[in-house]
Amino acid sequence: MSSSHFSTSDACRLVAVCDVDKKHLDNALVQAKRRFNTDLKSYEDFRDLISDPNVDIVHIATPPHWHALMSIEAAKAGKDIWCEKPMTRTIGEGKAVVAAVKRYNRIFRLNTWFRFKDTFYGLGTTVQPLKKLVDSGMLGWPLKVVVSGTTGFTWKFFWVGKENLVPEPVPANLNYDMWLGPAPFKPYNEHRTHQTFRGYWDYDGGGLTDMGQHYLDPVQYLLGKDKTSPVKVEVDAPQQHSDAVGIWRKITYTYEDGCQIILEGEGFESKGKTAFIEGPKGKVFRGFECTIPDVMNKLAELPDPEPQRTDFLECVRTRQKFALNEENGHRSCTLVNLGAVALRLNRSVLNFDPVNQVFVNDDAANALINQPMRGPWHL
Amino acid sequence: MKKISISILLFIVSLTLGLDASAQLDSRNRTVETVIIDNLGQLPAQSARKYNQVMSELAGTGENGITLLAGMFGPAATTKNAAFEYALNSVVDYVMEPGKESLRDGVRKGIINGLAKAADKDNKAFLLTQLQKIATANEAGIFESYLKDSYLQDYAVRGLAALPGIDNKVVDLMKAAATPNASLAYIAGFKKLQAAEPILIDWKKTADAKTQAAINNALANCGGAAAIAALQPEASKLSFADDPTGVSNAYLTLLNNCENNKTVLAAAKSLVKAKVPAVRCAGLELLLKGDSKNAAKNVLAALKDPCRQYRTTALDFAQDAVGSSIINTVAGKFKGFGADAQTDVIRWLGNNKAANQIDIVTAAMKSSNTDLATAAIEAAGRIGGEKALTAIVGQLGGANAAAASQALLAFNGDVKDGVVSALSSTDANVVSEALKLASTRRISSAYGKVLDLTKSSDATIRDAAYDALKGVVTADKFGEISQLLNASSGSTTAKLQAAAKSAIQGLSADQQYNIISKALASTKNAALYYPLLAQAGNSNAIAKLLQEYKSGSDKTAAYKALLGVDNPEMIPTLYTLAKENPAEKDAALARYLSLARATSATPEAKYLLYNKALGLNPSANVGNNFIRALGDTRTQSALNVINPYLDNAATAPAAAAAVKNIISKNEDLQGGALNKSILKKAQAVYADIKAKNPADADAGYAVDEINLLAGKMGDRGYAEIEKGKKYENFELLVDYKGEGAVFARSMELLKLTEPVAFNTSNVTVQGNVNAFAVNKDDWNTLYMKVVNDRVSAKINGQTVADNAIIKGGSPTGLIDLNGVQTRSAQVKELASTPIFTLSPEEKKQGFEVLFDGRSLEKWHGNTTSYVPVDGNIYVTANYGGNGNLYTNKKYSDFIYRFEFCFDVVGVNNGIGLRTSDGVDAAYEGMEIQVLDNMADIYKNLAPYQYHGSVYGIHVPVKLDFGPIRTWHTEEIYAKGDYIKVTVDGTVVTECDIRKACQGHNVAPDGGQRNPYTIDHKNHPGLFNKDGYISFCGHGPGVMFRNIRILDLSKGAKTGKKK
Repeated sequence: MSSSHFSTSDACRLVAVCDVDKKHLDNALVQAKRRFNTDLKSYEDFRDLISDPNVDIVHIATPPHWHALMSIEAAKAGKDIWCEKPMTRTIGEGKAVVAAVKRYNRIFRLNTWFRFKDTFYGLGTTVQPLKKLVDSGMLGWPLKVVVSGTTGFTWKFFWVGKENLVPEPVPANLNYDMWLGPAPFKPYNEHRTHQTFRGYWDYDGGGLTDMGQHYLDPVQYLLGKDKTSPVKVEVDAPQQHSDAVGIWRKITYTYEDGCQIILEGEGFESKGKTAFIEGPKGKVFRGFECTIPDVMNKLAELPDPEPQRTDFLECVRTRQKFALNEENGHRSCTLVNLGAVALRLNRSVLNFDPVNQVFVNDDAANALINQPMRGPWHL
Repeated sequence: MKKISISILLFIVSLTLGLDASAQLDSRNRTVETVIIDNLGQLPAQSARKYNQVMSELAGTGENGITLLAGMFGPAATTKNAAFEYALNSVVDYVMEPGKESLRDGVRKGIINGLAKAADKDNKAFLLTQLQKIATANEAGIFESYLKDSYLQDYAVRGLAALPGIDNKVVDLMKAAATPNASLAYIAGFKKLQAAEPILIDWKKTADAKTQAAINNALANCGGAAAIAALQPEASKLSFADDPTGVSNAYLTLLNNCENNKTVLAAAKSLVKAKVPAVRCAGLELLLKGDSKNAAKNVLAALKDPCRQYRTTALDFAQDAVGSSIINTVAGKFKGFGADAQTDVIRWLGNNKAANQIDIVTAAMKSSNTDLATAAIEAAGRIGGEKALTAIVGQLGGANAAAASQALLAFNGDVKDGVVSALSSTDANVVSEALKLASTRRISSAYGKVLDLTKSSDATIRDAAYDALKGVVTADKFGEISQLLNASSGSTTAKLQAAAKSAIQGLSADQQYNIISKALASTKNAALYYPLLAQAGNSNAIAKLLQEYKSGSDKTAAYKALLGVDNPEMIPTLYTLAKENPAEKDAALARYLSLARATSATPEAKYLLYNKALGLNPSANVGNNFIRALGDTRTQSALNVINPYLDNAATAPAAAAAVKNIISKNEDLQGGALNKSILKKAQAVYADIKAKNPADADAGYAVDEINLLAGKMGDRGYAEIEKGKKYENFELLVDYKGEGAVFARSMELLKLTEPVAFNTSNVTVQGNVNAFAVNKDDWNTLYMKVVNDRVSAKINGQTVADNAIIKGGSPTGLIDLNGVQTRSAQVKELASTPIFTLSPEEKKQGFEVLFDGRSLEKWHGNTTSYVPVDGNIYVTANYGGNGNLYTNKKYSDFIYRFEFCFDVVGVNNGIGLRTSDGVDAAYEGMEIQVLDNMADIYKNLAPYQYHGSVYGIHVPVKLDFGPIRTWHTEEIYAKGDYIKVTVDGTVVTECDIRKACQGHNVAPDGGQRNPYTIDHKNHPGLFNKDGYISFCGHGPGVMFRNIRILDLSKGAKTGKKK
């Protein structure tokens, strides 16, 4: 957890923190004192924090291999949830979160926000006018979206793992067993944990899973794919290691209606000017440069996209679904996880059934949808 | 053939299990061990093609090979296992692809053997993980055997959970367990094993709390009615709240999956009385689901509940439980609900776009309860329709005007009519809001009305109307707006300028300029039109603004407008402006940068632009942006410029990022002492950032990343040109100004004139020559590569010519830039080319070297695709050449010796004999085949096409070349009709070509089919007396070297050649 995940307001007070690293926990207490002048309750075991009756909302800012278990545990205890991206480490875990949140009628927020605010990374525009443009039909259908350095997105390939890790003693301040939780036991090495955990498939999946939901959730929203998933994922990458995440060149998602999302890895971007969205009738580039004449005026005449509920605390109060919730969040996380599965298996192509959410005719890929956990953790 | 030999190999392996694996050979005569080692060396595979090739070979080694591979792992503390991990993990995933079932058995057995032999527990864990992916029911016992191993049991549990087809086995294990077992419970749950239910229920009687949790979870996944009954008392005791045993959740999960409505209903009735709201909600869902007959009644009852969570749950599930009629039912009872429940219902109607209940929604807008009223406004916007529009417009003047305005912007439908009618409202607030909407929605039909409102007596409305003009104006109204603008003053001026800009925005730059020019002619105040000129932005507009800047009425405004022009033509102008106005330098250079970045210029040209701007010393803030932009050019030139900025605290972080960017993204720059030292400096900058702020993860990671990068840095890199040093192969990088020439190897190669051109007395240009303009008065950047007899050059990133041929001259020489002014001239020395010389014996015999490794001067034809590389002739597709390569001289009888090497699988080339330019040597002359006849793609080849054949005439002994990328020797002996081909010491062809076709090189009947040749084709040139020797190219990937010839027709063994 970083200090940016701290917040407090009239409607919502920070009351407790939990961390499996004593150093981090102590630091959090000091920061809370300094910034909000409050003494927080502190926990090492998240289950104790969740059962604290003072807690109404939990904010999950752990590595992704913990997101599902903690979200479900919070839902069972009747807490609302603010969860960092990527939502879950597997598609199966995502389905379990959706079911638990529904059963206990919780409000769930997945924490990325570009579908409703802020300039969309290097694209030089927010998503709203793009949504309007897509919905207007002026670009035609189906659409192709390119998420690449050339359209303003970097895949943070520095989140790669290291091979040949040498076992190291576990620091006294870290509860490594609890840090691993449901992940397979592997001998401790500092590089597995804390700031570099994203480089290991057991916990995350590198730049793709770090940035993927930030970049792809808005695209899913733009294409109106909140309730479905692609039917095909294609990957072009160097061979991946079993443990350490590597880089990739290109990932292509194709939906049943022919819409495509293309991710281009750093250093493997298309040459020349590339459209962010391309349809049969027009293209739109960075900075909302569009091949359709006078597009801004044409769009201005059209109504804005349907309003989204983007105030989390207001959603908690009124019990309305947050704009980016467990359902559409699970679908955008599925995009990320489809890529991760194809990468891990070094498959050039995987076919996916978006209704039943299983891969078509590939047992090895399906084995990565529902992965057994290390005891005593379970879904 | 290859495929057949592999299957034979597997057969042998299966018969000789346990024998020394190295005794078995594959189709390339490699032992299994060699195959494994060869392939390990190629991992990680960089492409899918390579991956499939390597994995197919690894999988093909079967049990023996995989056993060997699995045995290579050592303890992580002392062994680098990565290559083995890449191999084993991927070979398992590879054989698990659909369609590769037949390969699985060997891989699986190999892993099992490896597991049995492995001593290190982490290696065992890795192998168990791999086995889990490929195991069948037969391997259950292996996992079972590790269940009691404290370190590996978790791997065993996961393996058993994942293993298909072992349901009975798991039940048996559970039955045999002496005490309740959490792991087995987990496995049963993961597998959703219904048969485990009674055992699990039985275990609950004696299990401890920890095991209870596992059992409850398992029952949630695999239980039915019996489990519901068994869990109910415990869950009820907890009032169905969550606890560490998870019993309540298990109970709820089971009820959710339960098909028996009676059971569900009975349970739901007590659940909705629970204390925890979330549990009540879960209970309500069950209640609605379990009792569809009373669902509507239950929804209505729930809406009277004080708990909002409970009410919204009722609404969430209402349509599923009752059907769409529930909307009318709920709406019918709307007045009976409390204000909070009414608010919930209104939101629900909006979410469901319940158009038939719009009256309830619009009525609710009038509520004094703000929550309810604003919810109603928002819901009406979602529902849409005329009534909704009128009602929302009516709210524009009230307390919830902001919400109403918001709702209208996203209104579900066209708002034009509603907004226009609101402009005539008597309520000033309504008019103001409507003006904003009219402008935002570009309702041009409101223009007249808006113009009227600019004359309103109400100052607020007047202001709002002027503001709104820009949204409703069209090009034909420019004249009117222009007149208003000329007469304007104060704050309305800017608003009218915006309107005027908006009016002509859709026109072309030239059209805009023409319109503005006319307006300028009839105004006394040209400054009013500066923003318009900036928008037009064509050359004329820029010139006009510059003129105004120099002598106009409002210098400041003209300058501001110039910075607003969006046209790359402004780049040089901005440079001049920055240079001439130190006070405004930063603003001009910031704009310069954004325009330069957006151009499609080459990275080298951008480097020049950025470097030039940095020369004006902008502030650190702007300078850092230039440094970052230099980083994006990923050039050595940029690196050189950035280097000193690492030493200045204000620019060091940006410079370090740019250095990392360049070196990590450009492999050509990963080497040399200079770049190593720059990289090291950049790392020190990051280390310093990290030391000052330990929480800066990116800086910490950059230090690590640079460590990795430093490990990749090679020895070759750019350095200063050494005076007096003779260079052979090199890359040259220099910025120059003026006109002159580049000398290398002591010859003038390139004329730096207008246009830049190769000196054609010394260089033969092949393919396109690009003539482009170069500004000799400004800095230009030259890149030139000289390797063997080839030279390529680029100026400012544009190619002058590629792969041009240097004619003769000395193999080494000085590099000199003549006549031009230079800066940062650097050279990257490349490996010297090994020169082939004859053995004393061949020298004595009179052989002549035809290719010494460096130059093709004794050859003609396709010198574009045949390129000297590292001492070899390399056949490449990089330069788009086609055709064959021929000797300059003709030969009749000779001994032709050379070496060849296949760089890729499936190479096809040939040696043409006694042939001439531009014909097919196989028929016009003869062709001695050069072909990787081992490649899979050639498995259906006719024997007369094998390597060493006289193509179509004589069948050779088929050769086995072993692995690709090995060199082979070949000799072709030709004397009259006698042809002998010897490869790697083996005579593969020895024949009399005349006898081979019984003298009939063409069909005696004059037809196309020749019964006397093996390929049944005519070979009219077979008996040519003499001709060129050629390479008959069929694509890239083959190398030749050490080519020499002994001409037997001209007094052989005299050793005298001209």
